[in-house]
Amino acid sequence: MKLSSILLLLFTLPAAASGYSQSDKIKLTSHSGTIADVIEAIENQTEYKIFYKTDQVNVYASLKVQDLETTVGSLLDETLENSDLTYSVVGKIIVLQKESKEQFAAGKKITGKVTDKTGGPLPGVTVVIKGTTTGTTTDVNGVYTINDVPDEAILVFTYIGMKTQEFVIAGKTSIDVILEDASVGLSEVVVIGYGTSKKADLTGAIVSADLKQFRESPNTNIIQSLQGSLPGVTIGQIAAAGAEPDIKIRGRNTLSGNDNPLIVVDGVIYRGRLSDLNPNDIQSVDVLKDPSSKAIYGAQAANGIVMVTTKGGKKNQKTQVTYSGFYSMQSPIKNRRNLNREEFINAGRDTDYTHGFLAPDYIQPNPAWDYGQVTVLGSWAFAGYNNGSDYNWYEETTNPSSKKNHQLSVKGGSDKTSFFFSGGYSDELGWVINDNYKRITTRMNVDTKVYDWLSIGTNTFGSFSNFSGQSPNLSSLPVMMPIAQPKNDKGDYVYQPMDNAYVNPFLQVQADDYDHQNNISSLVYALINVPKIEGLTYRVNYSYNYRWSAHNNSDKYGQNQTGSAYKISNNTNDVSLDNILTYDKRFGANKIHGIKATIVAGFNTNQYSYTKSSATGFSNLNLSYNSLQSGVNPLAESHAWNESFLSQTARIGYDYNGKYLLSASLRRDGYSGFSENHKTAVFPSVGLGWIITKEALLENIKVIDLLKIRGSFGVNGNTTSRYSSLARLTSDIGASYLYNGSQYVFGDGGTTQTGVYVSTLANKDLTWEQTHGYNIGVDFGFFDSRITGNVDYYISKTKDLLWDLILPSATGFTSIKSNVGEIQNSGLEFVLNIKAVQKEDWNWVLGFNYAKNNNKINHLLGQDNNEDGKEDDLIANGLFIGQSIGSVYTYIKEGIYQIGDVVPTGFSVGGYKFKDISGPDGIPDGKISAEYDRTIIGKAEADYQFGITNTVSYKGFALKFFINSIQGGIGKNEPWNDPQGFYGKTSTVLYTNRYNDIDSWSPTNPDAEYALPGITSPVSFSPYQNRSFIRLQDVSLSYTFDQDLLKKAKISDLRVFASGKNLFTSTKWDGWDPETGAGLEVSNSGLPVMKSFTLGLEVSF
Amino acid sequence: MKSFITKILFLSLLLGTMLSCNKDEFLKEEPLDFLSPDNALENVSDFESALVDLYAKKRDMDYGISDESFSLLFGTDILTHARGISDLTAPKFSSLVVSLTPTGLVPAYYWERNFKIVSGANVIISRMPASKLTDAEKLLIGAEAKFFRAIAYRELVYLFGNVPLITEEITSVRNDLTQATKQQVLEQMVADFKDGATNLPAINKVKDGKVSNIVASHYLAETYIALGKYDEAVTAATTVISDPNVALMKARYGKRTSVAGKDVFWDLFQRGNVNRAGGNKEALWVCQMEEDVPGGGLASTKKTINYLERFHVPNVYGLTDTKGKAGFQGPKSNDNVGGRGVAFLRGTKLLEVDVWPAGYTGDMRCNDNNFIKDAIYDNPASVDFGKSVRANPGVNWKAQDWRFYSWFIKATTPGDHPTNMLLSNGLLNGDAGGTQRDMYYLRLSESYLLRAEAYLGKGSKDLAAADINEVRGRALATPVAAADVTLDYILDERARELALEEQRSITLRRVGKYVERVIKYNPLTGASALPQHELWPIPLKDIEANINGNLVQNTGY
Repeated sequence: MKLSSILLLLFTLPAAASGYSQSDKIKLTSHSGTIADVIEAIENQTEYKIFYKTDQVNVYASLKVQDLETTVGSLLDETLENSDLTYSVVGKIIVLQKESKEQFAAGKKITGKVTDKTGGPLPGVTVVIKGTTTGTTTDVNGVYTINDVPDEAILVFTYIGMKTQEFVIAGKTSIDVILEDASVGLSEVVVIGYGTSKKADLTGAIVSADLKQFRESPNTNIIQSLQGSLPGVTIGQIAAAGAEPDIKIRGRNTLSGNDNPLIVVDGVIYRGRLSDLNPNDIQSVDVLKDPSSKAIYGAQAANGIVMVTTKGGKKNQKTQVTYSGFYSMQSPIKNRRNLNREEFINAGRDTDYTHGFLAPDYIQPNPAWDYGQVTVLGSWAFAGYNNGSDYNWYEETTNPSSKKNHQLSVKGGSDKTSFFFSGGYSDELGWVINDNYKRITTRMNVDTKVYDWLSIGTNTFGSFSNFSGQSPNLSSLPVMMPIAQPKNDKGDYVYQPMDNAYVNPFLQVQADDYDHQNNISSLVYALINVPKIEGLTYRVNYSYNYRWSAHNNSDKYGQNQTGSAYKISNNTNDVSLDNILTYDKRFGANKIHGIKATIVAGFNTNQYSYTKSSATGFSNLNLSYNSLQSGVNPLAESHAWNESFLSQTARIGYDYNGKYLLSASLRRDGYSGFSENHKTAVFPSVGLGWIITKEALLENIKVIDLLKIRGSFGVNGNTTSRYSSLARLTSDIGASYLYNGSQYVFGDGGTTQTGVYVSTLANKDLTWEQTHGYNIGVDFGFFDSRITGNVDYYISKTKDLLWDLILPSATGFTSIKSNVGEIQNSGLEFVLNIKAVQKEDWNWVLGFNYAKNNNKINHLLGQDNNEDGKEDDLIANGLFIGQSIGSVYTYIKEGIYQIGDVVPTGFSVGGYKFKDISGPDGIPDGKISAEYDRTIIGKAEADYQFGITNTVSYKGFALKFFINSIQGGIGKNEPWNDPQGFYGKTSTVLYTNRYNDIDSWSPTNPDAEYALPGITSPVSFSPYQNRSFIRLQDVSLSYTFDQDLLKKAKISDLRVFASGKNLFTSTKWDGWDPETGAGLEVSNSGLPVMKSFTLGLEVSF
Repeated sequence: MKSFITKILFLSLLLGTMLSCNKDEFLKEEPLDFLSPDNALENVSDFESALVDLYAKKRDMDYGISDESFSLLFGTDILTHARGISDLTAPKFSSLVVSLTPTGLVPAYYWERNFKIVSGANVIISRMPASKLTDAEKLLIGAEAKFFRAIAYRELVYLFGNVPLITEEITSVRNDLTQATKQQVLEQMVADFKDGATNLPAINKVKDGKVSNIVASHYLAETYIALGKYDEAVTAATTVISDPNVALMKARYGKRTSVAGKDVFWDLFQRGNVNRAGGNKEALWVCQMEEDVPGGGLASTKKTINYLERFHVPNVYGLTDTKGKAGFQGPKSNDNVGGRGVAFLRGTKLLEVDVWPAGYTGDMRCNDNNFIKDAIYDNPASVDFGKSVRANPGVNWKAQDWRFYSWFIKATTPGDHPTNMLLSNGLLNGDAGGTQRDMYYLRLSESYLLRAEAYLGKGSKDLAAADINEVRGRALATPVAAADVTLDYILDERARELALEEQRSITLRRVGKYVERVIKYNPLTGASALPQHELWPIPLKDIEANINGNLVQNTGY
């Protein structure tokens, strides 16, 4: 417990209670010079925590201390001898205060028990009568007794790391209290990049995740546990087993540059999969959102930074072994299915309505219409049609999904070394058959003090994921016709059951597939407290992250049953080194000036290598993928890249009495991926803060605990993909189809010749995309922190946007990577936490967060070629001045042409009708054209999002639920596979099956949402739909066992829980899910979001 | 004190790493798995690779499997979408109003791909002067690149009219394009083809698939005709025809002469008989397809490119019998079933009936070897087993007339599909449907018909008739009388000789007869034809992206 843990404390206990302090040995060196140093020495070297009130005790008062080895008691006696301070010891707590002459008032005895949220008893909580120095502390069972309490008194409960609470006695003699974690308290330490900071000292917008809120959810990826709970941070749903969620912070700051936030794990930039980090190993996640906080990572900072800190042990800690585990069952949140035989044939009749029904109104079915006679069916499907087959492909190729998770960790520490070891195992069975994911993770975090001045340590982990097993393409499942069967009479799989290019989805499952992805990362550090210069430390971080994967596959049905096999191996090596010098010291009378300066220099290199060997045409695949030379068409392929970063950073923080705050930083960054003329750039930032409640004026207003205003400015960069400034000479080999591309063979029996062409244009002036942004925020706490929260407003402008400027294709190129224009993001974020009920047994805590982001394009090329006095849009790129980046520019749908309507040339009955907005003369011309009849109908970005957390606890029970919502934004929701395919899309219904929830037009369903499948139109159009939703994302019920009971079983902690995820979603979006954007379309990426039920437990010994 | 010195040394060492890095060297970017044009186009082999890519791009455009492939065959006077607009599948060019819009995929496909070839050719031409090529190599490489530039402009100018004329490599942002006139483009083509006619090697000196001097001469002649320069056209075409290395094939030859009862026109379209190496002296320029070799285009195990069989052959194997039961066993590789056709691209009445002599006699090209007009039910389980489909129309053919029609065997390889495409029961698997052989870009018979066109332009009908009769004579057809030779007659003769081979849409637009003939002979497409359809619309995307220039949309769009 450092000096940072300053707490209010007002009580007296007889010094005679200080029994232990006489025996604990402590060593001081002669340069120690203040009470603060003495306190720090005691806290570092012993288990004692020291409390005092800042306005009573000036800890920076000078002392004369010699080199000595003594006991805590005699040290304190000696130190305080000539001061006006006294000390008292209760358990492991030492309280410093001014000597008090106050007398106790007569009153009654109050008792009670203090517990944490989970019901665990809290020993060592101080309980005092407000306005006096009378008080006590709780015993090991969390029980306290306090005498002589007046009836009108208020009891104040304080405990390190918990929020202070007050209770009115109001005649009661027993008061039980549950203390809350001080998660928004100013004592909290946050990770800010190359160091940490007290939350109190921040001038920017950094949010810390409340990881406890979601610890009952079956999340195997740490990022999932942040979903919806951090304002301004949007995290996507994941659907496939082991997939990575998408993260966006404060909207899009780029048009086409990289838009993923930078991930920093234990101070080192991490470029691996987030799924490789075991959520149980994570201590904290802090997100840097505002430009000044981000600026410390300069050129890679524009999209925000996620700082992940892993767990460590503590010195002098009893070894604790913890097991936790859960089992989870999952199913899609929507019950979609595909059409059965009867529905399928009827859908075909609807589609072919001009023949399937009788003219003129096409309501009466035409008895002569016969599906088998109007379609081109292969013999197998035709046989199935004739013999009444009705096979449910969809159900047979999906199964209930489950997740198993086991975690074991050991942590502890001696006086010099602390450690944390963990191992984890996850086993996930996906919803589509064979979509499996297994992961083993291990971690070893060790820190040891070699000398007084030198500590070394390592944070090392390994993660071994197994994706083996090939699952069918999702797009191949719902399309299978119910009249086709997977197996023939002999029981063998039919290769192409519909006699078309769709291969039997069961065949992919038969492949021998080995798919392992491994990740080993080791951070090694040394920390030196530079002697002779107090407050100066030097830290060096060296990190090596090696990721490699092997994907081997052999499929006897591959390449049209001649057999195919391949082996792919790739590896990535990330190396980084950072040298960090930190100077942290207070100066002046009463140490009123605080300075914290940091200088960093470092580099980072990333290397990638990929090799693939494959062959087809095997006489047999008995040796699977291990004898590719037995195939007839061997093919080899390899790729590689390198990139490097170089940076120098300086940051200074200054505070005046912890009241006025200033921070500033400057970073110079270099990146190999930028053009010759712009390899490096400089990114500055500055921030100011003012804690108003520290002013004398507000100090006595008890309603307001905290009021802080902060404002900041910073410049951040964004990298582009490597090699993007270079022109490329490319060969397309096997790009789209095995034998096409740039290769050609002259003459019969000739050999392959490989062509090359210039595929991209060089841009030697491609420069950094720079974001300049401002942030202003207020942190507040009212009514003894019953209500806390913060509000942030920001505005940022990104210039020189990296953009693939579309060129006329007549140039031979479709685009060139360029710097264009300026976009602006502005938004408001709001967090509110309310302790609605705080009773002995009952507690209700409510949290609310809200974020709104607007983006718009301020400038593009700065040209006004049409001379209308307004800068020109880039219509070809879909970019419009003054509009959002995600503007959707298309036609306005005005219903569907009905039978009997006058249908313009090229359009058809059952097709969409469009609004005739304008024409060449500025008025509607009776013709629908791309030039005059498209307009902006909306934007892809959401208007705002919010999350509501609720925790209700009763004794050991805690019920939590979390509601997540994103409002606004439209997305393409196209019900048909290939809406504008040149042969039309009738095949979607006539020759392939589809989902049952598509509301498409037919004469008997004239008010449908979607057009008749298979019709053509001169207008290429896709429908859009609103993606708003509100979702009950997490619900959990946990029970923490009473510790008295557990003690007998030598268990220190036991908690069981049940939880549900994504149980209810309200939306008007059609298809799978509005959050993922997977709609009605049959596609490979559009996996459904899962809802799950989970049971779990956590036990510590 | 000693330990203090150690500490300082240790610290200095670590701090040293902060400063010991050479920034420029460290941040230099060197691509590892691709080349940069700055240093990669130097030797003759580099330039040859760049040329190979042009051949590959041309093949991909014409015979690829994009939805837009074969668009230059559909919607013409002789070929149409089999299924018609009123039927289930929305077809190519069934409605010109639907297919030809400024945002349409088809115009963009031919625009982009041809300009990509122009760009590739320009890279070669612009990089040559600074390269290590010898003067002789420069002439040779340059001529081949210019040929491709001109062959790409050939499609662009006839399809789109006035188009941007780009003859230099583009190395930075260009969005200020303007259009050259059709005349200017044609003149550039003349210059480029002339270069080819002069500098490309003779046909017996090039590998199969490579262009030669006479291929350039043929297209030079064609371009002269478009410019109205008939004398020059005759001269250029004569260079082709009189080349001693080429001749019309008049007797049976090649790999399948053992199949009795066939004729030379049948031999011309057999696997292995298309290239000169197969004994073919008539082939001038052949699009190369090679099975199971990377870059060969074809796979014996997979439908890869060249879907002509699938498109043109009717859906014989799906025909039901007079009782509505399966009339055929399935897709088979023979003249009766024709492979795995799905009936998209059928002849119009002009091609199926009207261009041929009554009773299909007296012209080899429409005999039963080369033009299949009936099918026999082959399903033993069918009541109609062994009977003629035409005489006993089945249930689904009666409902949908597109299910069967007369078809040309040159669209496929009956009886000669790769064995990997055969199932154990002898049927073709679901990956069949491609045409598994080399494809003609140009045959000598086309040069005769082209020269006839030039003679006609000059008014020399007798010479025109003589050339036409060379072609007709080989097919054992009756000669045409000089008086009967018209441009329409030549177009009909081209239909008889070159149907499914020539890009018919280009031919019709080149001679300015697209709209006229499509209205006259193709009721499906003709119904929506308007005067503007003589040209295609310029893709709107390019007009929009060309922010600093002005691309003028063709009239009517």
